[in-house]
Amino acid sequence: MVIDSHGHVTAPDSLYVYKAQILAHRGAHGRGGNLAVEEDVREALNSPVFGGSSHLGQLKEVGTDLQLISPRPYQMMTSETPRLVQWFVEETNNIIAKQVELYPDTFRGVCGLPLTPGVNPKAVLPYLEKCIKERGFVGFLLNPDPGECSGVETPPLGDRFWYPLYEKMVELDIPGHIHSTGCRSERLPYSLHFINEESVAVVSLLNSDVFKDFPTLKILVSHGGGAIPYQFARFEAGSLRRKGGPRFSDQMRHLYYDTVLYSKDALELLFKTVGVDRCLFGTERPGVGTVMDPRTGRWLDETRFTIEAIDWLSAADKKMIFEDNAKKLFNLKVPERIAV
Amino acid sequence: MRKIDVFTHISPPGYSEGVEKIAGGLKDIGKRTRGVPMLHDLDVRFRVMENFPEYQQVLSLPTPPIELFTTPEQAVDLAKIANDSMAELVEKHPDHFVGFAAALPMNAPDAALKEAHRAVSELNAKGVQVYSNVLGKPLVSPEFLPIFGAMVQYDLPIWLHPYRGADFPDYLKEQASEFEIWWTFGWPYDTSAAMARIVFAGLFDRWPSLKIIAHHMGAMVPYFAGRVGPGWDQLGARTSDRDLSLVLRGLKKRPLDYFKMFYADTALFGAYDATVCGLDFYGVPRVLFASDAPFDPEKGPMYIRETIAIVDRLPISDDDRERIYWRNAAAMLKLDD
Repeated sequence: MVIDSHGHVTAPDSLYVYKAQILAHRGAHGRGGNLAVEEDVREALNSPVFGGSSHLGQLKEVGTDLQLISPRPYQMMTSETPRLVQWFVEETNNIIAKQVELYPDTFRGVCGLPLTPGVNPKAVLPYLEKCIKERGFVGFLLNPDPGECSGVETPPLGDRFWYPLYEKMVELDIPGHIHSTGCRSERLPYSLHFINEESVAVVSLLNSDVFKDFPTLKILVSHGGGAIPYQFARFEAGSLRRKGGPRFSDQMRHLYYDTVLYSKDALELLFKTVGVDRCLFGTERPGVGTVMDPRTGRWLDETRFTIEAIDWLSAADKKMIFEDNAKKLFNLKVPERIAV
Repeated sequence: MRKIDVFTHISPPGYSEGVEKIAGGLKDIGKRTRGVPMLHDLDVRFRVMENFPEYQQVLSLPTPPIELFTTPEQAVDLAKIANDSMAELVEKHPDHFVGFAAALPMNAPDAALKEAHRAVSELNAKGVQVYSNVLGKPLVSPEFLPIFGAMVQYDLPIWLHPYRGADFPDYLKEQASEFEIWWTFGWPYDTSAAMARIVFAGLFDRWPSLKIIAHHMGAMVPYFAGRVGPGWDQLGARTSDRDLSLVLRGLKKRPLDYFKMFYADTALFGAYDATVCGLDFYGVPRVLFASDAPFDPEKGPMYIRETIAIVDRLPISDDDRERIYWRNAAAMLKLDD
């Protein structure tokens, strides 16, 4: 079975029309709501998107059985006023819940949270609990920078500021999937901001007491852990200077990493650095990697085939990456297919 | 001149025994394969091959497709046995065999994909062989799509072999095909239908570097280029219950242009004019020498001999002849010169 742990919702256009409207009236017209009906939601998943074929078609092309879908992060505007953020996050989650309901064999939902800069994470815990317990979401996107580079900073993930959220995650036994949202900086595109925030998050978490205080905390880092698997020795050096403390590279195994990397070398580096038991198959497909490389005639996010072709991975390693690790981390209840 | 015969069949050691054990009583096609010594007997094969200087083969299994007579579990085992055995033959006899096309247990699609990867990465298979339908299902069914993608990843070809049995009637009101029409005309039709489904599923838009060798010179396509070309440009003109013109709008090129993206082989059993027709359609860069040995009336040498005689007298330059005989294959299969 192939489980793609990192996918984003392909929503009907009406969701983004809704976003434009609330940004325009800034709440003066009231909350309103996204009016997408079932048919719109189905059509969004079955219509061609970037890459030519539909979202559902693209999953079939690589043989993905189940995909975890979350909000499209760059759209989430978490640096906006709290009220608008809450409305838009909730409407986006509603679409995701509807897609899971319509395609229960294909999707599971990972929700967004209406975290805004300066707001204590405690404020969103009731909503998170409702999403998990009542609406069937299996995890949530953990945005380390709700301020979106606006200049309003939020403490890093190793700070006790985040402890109320970690307590709730442990209580609910759910993972947080680290993924930042937009970026207001003129010199930093949002896509690079993702990678930077993941790097900041990994170093902050591992150089803190978080995993001492919450040994069962489950954190999945997007995009192969940002730059850290590549740069880990820089931080290993620091950990060696602090005699008697844990090595940074050992600490890295507290975290999980998805395979949203679009080159074989990068994937091999990730597997070798953190171990295959910490890696979850993910593609973001359709997404940033849905582009054909004219040199190879291949789509960059055909990560499935790239991993399958890594010959030093055993069949058991591949099963962990494609299936077992995701089932364990997200507590996925998936009907067993007849295995051959 | 060196010759690489890209489509020849063998029932390698271990595989024959496995088939016999599971399905000793296979009718029709079973009879056809059991009665050909070159399929099973390596000495016979070598003696036949010695008649043709500088002649080498690419190996693949004969029909019937594994999935036709096995449970999924049996198919997985049998494909592994076949691939291990063909890999061993290639390793032991590199002068005779330049490579093999792996067999896949298509009634277990997930396992088929795994076997494709194993065969290429561990056994050095030069691609995979699939049949024009999988137990009556089209090859473009979602469960088989990853196999196409995986072969694009390896930049290696898929050998598309026809299959259909006597149980596929010639007429709706009958129960079975008569006079082996299922073979003579049914096989080229089945290949052509599979090619069309691949084209209209948009697989060549999805993966423009996809390499598929359509057996027997691309089946019916070259001869019916008029229907495939201007005919299919009017897709939808003959259908009232469904707007098929949408299909054309979803494709980037004319249907005909996609059919020219297939590769074709010269296994036409001595039909000279058909070879010229196919070569004209696909062009030298996409035509590969193949005989389909050993399924001829002499049980081995005849189709090789006849095909060489045809390629030798094609009105083309020696450079082009060399490409058809082996250079196209060597490049496609990434062989050392």
